[in-house]
Amino acid sequence: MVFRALRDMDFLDGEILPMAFHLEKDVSDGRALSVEWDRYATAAECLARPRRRLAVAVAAADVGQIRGLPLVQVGHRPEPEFRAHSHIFANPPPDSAARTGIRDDLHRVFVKVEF
Amino acid sequence: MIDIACSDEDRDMGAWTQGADGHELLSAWERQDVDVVPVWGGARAVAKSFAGVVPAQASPLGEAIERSRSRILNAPLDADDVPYSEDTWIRAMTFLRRDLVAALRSASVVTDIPRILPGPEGSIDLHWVRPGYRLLVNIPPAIDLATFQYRRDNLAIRGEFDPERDSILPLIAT
Repeated sequence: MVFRALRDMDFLDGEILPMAFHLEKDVSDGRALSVEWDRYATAAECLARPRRRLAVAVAAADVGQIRGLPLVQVGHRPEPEFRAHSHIFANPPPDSAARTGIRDDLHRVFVKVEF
Repeated sequence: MIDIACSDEDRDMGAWTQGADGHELLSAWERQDVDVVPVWGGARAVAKSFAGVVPAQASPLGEAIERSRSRILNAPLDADDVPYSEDTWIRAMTFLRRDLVAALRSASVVTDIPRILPGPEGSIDLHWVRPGYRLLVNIPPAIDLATFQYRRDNLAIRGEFDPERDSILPLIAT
């Protein structure tokens, strides 16, 4: 399982938007989305973690389901003070149509965590 | 370019076309049997006529469009977010209405109103999630091509298109 921190803008009428799964980071993995591996973090810890953008909720998805999607991979990318850090990524970087498809596919497999 | 005027009488006829789940989507004006698909001179011109052509209380499509305007243009942003522009919203709504009408005329499976949503980097998403299929259309700012993914079971079709010229919803039905 991986967790994705969601901000206020990732919701409309209580439902998660596809925008929440935009591969926004341009990194060595190609285009990536930061998530947290549940081996090293809980959903509550994901929600509470200090970050540049305030998180208001958390979504979760099974790693096997994500790996079953086309175009994306999942990898553990631990940081010194952030062992749970992982990437959902596409490499080579996907074109704009593929990025749209990836957002919809991830939107299909992630569900909001209820605390 | 062809302008099609809409009278108050047209708007008040109360005759609507049904969507896939049985509810009514379009006004008499929107479903009128004409030889040409309405085309406007430009996005800005559409904006000026939008409120009059699709009155907020008269059609579910008009309501959805009207409701999306303030939600998207007034969406809360973080400091590094790209703001949503009215031009992008107009571009997306012009495409949506033109193509949804075209889809209804061709008996497309895509005949329901999508969720009209803020997208990444100042873009706008049109999202259909229905039993049997999903469709995400992304309309970017400025002149960039729009993109879509249509998924039915294990079949996925994705691509780019010009939202000012191209039509995708009727094609998806075939």
